[in-house]
Amino acid sequence: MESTFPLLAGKKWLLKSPYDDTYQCIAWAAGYNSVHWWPADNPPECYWPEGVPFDDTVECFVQAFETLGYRRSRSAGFRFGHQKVAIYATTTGIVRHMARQHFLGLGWLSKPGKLEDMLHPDLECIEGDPSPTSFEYGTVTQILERSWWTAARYGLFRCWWANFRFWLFRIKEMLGLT
Amino acid sequence: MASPYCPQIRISDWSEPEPSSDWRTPSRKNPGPAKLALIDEAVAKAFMLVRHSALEQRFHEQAERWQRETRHLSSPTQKIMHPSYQAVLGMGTDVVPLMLRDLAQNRTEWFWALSYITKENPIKREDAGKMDKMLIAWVNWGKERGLL
Repeated sequence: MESTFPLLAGKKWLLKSPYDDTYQCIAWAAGYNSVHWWPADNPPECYWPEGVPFDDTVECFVQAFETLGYRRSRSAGFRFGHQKVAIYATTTGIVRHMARQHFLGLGWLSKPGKLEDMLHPDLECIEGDPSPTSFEYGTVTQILERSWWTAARYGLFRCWWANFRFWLFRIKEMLGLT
Repeated sequence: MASPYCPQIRISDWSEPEPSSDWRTPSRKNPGPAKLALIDEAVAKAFMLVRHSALEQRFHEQAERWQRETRHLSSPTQKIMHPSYQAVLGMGTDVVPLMLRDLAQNRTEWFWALSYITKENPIKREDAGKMDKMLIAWVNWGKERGLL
């Protein structure tokens, strides 16, 4: 992971789930771990909320997450009673990645493509070249937030269940039961 | 100038050798049209095998590089723009069976490339984003056409 994200080196980060290609960062930021989220319509190969335009721009992603009860926020800091997500984009406003804040503000959760889901201490450690032609994540462009009550209505517990299954998997692995 | 390797000769000493009579009457018969057709077919098959194995090698090199360098990306757009993905697209329709095999064996998401080359899309709209269902759709598509 540190070879892909050099700024992680020396920071306290940890893996939160095994390698899995059934979901990626946008879906995980939305709290889903069984489907890919992306505005891809030609041909359709990812899920995208109905009524939201199929476009890679920050604005469309904001609209997509507004369907989950999120609103624009000015700060990335932890605010008790609220859950936040961060949008990474290029200099031209094309989205590259999203991260979700830990429920208790212990860091940020990212699912880099097919790689393992990880908890990293801050948003900057997975930032990269923001040019449109690079294969990195760009920089944090927009923060969105919603209350815990709204999160519960939109499936907050789905994320906890995914985490529980991962820890169950780790315990089974240690006991040689896998 | 004469040397031990090149003895001096006079022009009068040189004479053209008599042609052998063999070239007038061939010692072996021509293979015949049927045999020539078989030979042509064998040569063509050999060329195709060599060409296909070269294509397969190039495909696997590009596919592995693409997987390695884009596995951390979530944006399908970003993954499609990778030079290795573009190189695979440039290999044309011959690479479709190889993509289908890679998709079936390694769960490589060649969905966009397959749609682009074949001009078809067997994935149902309600299955968009569900990896297992998308893989099954393309595998079944390949089997129906004898490509897998």
